Amino acid sequence: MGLLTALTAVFIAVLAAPASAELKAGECSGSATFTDGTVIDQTTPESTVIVVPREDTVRYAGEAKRAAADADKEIGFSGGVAAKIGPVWVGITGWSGNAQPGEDSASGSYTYEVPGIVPGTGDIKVRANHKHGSADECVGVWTVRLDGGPGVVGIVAAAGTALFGVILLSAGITKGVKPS
Amino acid sequence: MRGRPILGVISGFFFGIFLALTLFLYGIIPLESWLMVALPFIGIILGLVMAAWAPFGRSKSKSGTAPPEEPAGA
Repeated sequence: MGLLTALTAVFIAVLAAPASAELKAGECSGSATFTDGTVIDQTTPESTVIVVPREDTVRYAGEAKRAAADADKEIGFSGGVAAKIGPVWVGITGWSGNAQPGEDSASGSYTYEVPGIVPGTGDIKVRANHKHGSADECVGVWTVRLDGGPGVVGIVAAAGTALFGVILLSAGITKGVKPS
Repeated sequence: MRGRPILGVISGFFFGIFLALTLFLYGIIPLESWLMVALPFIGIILGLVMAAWAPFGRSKSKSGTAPPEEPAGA
């Protein structure tokens, strides 16, 4: 959950304001700035691997453009964040609500800390989208990895691989053979 | 099958899951790699192959390949 919280904070920051991702569609802008000076915005290439610190305070800012037809009325908005597992995008979190005229930007800071039990990860492709009224949907895709090593979870995973590998081999023992 | 196909399927599935998780956590493959989804199924196939092949525990008398015993005193 810590990792999801951290990623969600970063992604919301990018779409709602600060972060780092390559905008694939729509007219949103935003940025996220970590305390080590790393800045992510809508121009950050998808190929750039963003290492997310295990704890930090992220400053974010973002803005979505309204369609001309929505200029003077309350509109609905919605969005979400998904991670790509194999060929499938799996939703992590989402948001929705209503915005009055002029309520099209956000900024602030978000402090998070990933619990120690959560391992560092390999590369994760993340997609964030935001639909603002009738304007074109904004979609950003970028690559992140959580700082840190595999830790205890990595050791357990490796041990599980070895254990089930041995059991897998035992499936090749001929049935009903008794030593003579 | 001469081996244990059910054991092979179950152990192969979990072997694939743990292997995929290990490769991801150690940064060898990204989460979006097709191997993340394919490895559990490859494990199932491996389990079935092991059960069909059953290379362990074969008795010589069953396989019929045992060489003739040497004459006593030879």
